[in-house]
Amino acid sequence: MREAVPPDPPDPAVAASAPGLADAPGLAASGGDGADGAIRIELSGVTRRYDAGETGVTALEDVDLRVAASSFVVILGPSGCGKTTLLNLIGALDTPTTGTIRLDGADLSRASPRVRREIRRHTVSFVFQSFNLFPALTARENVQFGAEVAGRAGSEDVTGQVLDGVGLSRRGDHFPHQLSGGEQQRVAIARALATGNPILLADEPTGELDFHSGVQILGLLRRQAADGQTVLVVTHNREIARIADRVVELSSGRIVADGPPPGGPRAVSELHW
Amino acid sequence: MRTPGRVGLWARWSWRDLRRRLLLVIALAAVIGEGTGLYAGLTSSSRWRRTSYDVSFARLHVHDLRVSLDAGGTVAQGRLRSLVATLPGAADVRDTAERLTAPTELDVPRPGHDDVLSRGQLVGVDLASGPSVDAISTAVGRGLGLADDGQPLGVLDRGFAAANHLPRTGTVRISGGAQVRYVGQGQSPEYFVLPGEQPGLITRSGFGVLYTSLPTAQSLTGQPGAVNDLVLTVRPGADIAALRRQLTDAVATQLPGVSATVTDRADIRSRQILYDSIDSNQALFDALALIVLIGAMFAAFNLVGRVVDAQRREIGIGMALGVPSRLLALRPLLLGLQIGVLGVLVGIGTGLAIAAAMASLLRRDWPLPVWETDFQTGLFARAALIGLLLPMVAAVMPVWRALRVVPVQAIRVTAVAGSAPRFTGRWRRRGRASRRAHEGGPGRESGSVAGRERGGGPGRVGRVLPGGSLTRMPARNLGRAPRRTLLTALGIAAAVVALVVFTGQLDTFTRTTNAAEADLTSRTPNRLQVVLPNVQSVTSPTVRAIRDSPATAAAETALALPATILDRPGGSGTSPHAPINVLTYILDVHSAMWAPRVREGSATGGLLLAAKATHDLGVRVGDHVVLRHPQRAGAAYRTVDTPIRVAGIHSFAVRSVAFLDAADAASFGLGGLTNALTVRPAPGYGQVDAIRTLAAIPGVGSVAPATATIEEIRSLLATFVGILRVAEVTVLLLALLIGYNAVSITLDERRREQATMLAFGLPPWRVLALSVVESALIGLLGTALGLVAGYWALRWSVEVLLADAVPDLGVRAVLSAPTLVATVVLGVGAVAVAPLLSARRVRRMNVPATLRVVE
Repeated sequence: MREAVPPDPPDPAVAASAPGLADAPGLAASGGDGADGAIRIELSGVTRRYDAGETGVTALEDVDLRVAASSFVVILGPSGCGKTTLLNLIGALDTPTTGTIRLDGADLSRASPRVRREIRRHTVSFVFQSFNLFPALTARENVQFGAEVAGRAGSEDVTGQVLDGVGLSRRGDHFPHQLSGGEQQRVAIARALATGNPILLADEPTGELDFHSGVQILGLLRRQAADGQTVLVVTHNREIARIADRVVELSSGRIVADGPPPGGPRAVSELHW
Repeated sequence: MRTPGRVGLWARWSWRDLRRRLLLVIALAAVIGEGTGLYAGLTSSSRWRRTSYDVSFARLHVHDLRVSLDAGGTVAQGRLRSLVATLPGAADVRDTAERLTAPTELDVPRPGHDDVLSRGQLVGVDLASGPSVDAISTAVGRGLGLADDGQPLGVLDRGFAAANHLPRTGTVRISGGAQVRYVGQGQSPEYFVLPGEQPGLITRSGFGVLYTSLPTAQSLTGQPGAVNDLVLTVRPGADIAALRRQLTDAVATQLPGVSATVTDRADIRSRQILYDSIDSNQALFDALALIVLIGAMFAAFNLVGRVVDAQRREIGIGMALGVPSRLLALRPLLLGLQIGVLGVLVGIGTGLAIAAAMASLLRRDWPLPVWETDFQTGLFARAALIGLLLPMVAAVMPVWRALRVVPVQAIRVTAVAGSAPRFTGRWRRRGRASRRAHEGGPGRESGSVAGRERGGGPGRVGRVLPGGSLTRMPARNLGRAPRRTLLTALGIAAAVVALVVFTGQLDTFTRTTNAAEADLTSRTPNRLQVVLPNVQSVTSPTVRAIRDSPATAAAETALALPATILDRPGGSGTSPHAPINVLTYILDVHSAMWAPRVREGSATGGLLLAAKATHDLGVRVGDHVVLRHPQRAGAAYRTVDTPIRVAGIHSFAVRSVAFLDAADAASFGLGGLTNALTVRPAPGYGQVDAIRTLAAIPGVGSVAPATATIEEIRSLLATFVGILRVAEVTVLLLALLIGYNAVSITLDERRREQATMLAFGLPPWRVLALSVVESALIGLLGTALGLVAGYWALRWSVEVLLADAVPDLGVRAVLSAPTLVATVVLGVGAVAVAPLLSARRVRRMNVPATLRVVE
């Protein structure tokens, strides 16, 4: 549903750290290939079935997908279409029933729990709809957690840089409950960025935010793709898909559409919902 | 479709809740049940004991008054009875019985084991007068009848026989070598427990009573026709105090050459110990049961409350859907009821088990003729009611809090369990300022309130912790919910308090006995104490025979003088301090064989008293007291008061032991007399052989090693160790249950956090390690609180309760270093390992499902 009020000016902190980037029109290439062309994520014939008593549920069926590095991909679909399942499979939180999943060439499908854990530490990072920050840690420490888990040297310096990058360096000593929703999600993004992992997976990152906060978040995520990360965003909001390099649409567990958004990627500032 | 108003839906829902949390509910119920069961089991013994004592004493016609001649004096049989007949209140006397009592040695063979050599008392009872006063209750074998009059037959002390595992019947050799065949085992009221005529500590296995007919006792002691004891009962309503005065006067006037003591029922030592220990023991049991119950209460309130808090979102959804509050409250209250019902069942089982164990212990250690251990319905009903109401009351507050939350706040995904209270005032103000900054009109960010509703952070204090984010997390998590942390810690503290009191008492007794043993075994550790049945000249044939015995390398005479110490002339009527009965050992305080160790002052120039004695008398070294003692007057004795200086304080903890240098004895008119000798065995004589040889000398009362009392107390402590181990396990189980419950609920509340950590690739063992550290910190806090409170509870139990129950014993509470370390390790360790019980749950967590947002 579109907001009836005119948009507020962008957050100065975010704008100052990425001048002009959030407003750059026509960004990102067409679907399938990122800036450098290397395939980062590859799914072949992936099916995920859940047994629920006497009946089974097929969340994904025979999905083929290839995602290039440095691309911003939106996975679109209504509730229950399998988009979160797809994200969980790519993020090594789940294993496919059939098919193969490769990240940077490594087969994830039959990997052991230890290997999948290593992938989560060093290859993929998550941003969740409900932020999932650690309430006992400050914003800075939440971000530092990401760097420490990934084993990055100089975690404190990394933390400072990343917090600065999301415009929250002055709120670093605040606890999550002292931050607004948008600020919390920015901290969550910072935490994911602090890992330095090449793949960023965001599950409904704007789901609990209002329009203005959501726009800020999308701007941050969009910038990460421009900076070389592979970003996958799961959403049911068709408006958000307009800023993607590529939109993969799911319905009933199958890919029903895959390509750039109509009219090409839009700038974040053009979004309205 | 069923409407929410149907109670059946809520019952089914609650049943599913129960099944989902079955382990947790059982564990919670176990905490409550253990607390209430312990309370019921321990407190039930009080009524049993009082009833059993009353019935037992009544059944055996315990005496109301007693006349006992001092210093080995005797009178002709019948003399004491006739004295009673001359009393003005003679009509009030119902029954009388004359007796002859004498110290003796008991040498009892045990088939397949070492023989028992022990001190004892020979009690000759007048069978002709029937079981009229202080009757003997025969528990094993048969009692004595008229046909046994004058025969070398007897009944052996039941407690002594049981403690030494003696056969039902057998033969006893007593001092002088005579043999008596015991045909049964029994006891009279004065000797129900701890034969109290001997000052100091006596244990069941170390002192036995042998009951024979009066003629038999007279023959065995070489005192034909003699008696030295009279017991009598009076009619209901008689003035016992008046009769006591009359008896005292009659003895003084009609038996001028005799020193005698007149006592009443209240002076019976075993009776004092039995009845006094009810109140003091019960006070300790009540305190321990209350401590455990309070611990269980803290745990229940904390844990049930958190379980209910976890349902807050669902309550909020219900409110948003318009469900009436009373139905919303039904589900969590039903949970409380389920926990309560299970808790009652566990509690009844625990209570019955503990009560049965207590009953068994009482029957074994205090074998009275009658033990009434009926099930106390009222007490168990009270405990059951507490167990039932506790979790329901614990559920009420969080339910009320949940129903007050605005529905839209409650249903937010991040509005999970526990609105923890503000940590500090400053934090509260910051929280308010933060809220104000985010209040406002349109355009306010919708996610801003969610985090705040969940409650506080650790505040400024938590920010100064060193280390990385993961290192700080456990302490920070504790600071997030200080009330919960404190409640959990208090529950653990309660368990630790109980542990400290149990083990501390053992430490105290162990240290006391170790110190006493060190004192007793100085100089000549293998020496023997020979007790004579009466006061004799140091040149008497018996004393010469002891000196000349081949078993004797050296012998020194001493005089053990029963006396009373008063803090001032005039007696107790003019003083705030009660007089103290003591056994004054008059001996050479510079002896090479043995002498008491002096802690303060000097061994010469006056009395050497125990620290407890000086405290109770309100005197210090250098002060003067009055010693009331028998003094020889020609061929007889009289009781005199002698002022004497307190020369010093000896090292023994027993109040009733005093020492006086033999050089000062002459001023007491006691020079040249003895009734006890210290003997160093000759080379080649083992302890047992030496004892037998000396005990066979005619005129010897008893022979025992100098450390006999210490050895007996050590064997008694061995029993306590068994009880202690059971107590330790019980308390550890309670701490583990509390820890497990707290961790289980914490894991439930933090599953999203843990799932997030796992999603970021943190291995499950590290996620668990955070919980282990957090639990260990709570355990540390609880243990620290428990140690502090436990130490004070220990001091109270030893220096107040024990002092009331055993006034002769003066000990200070001690907690040894090993006990301290063990308590810390157990208290912290038991709680710290609790998260490991949930390791499987963490390892197998469905991360995507846990992170999934319920839209």
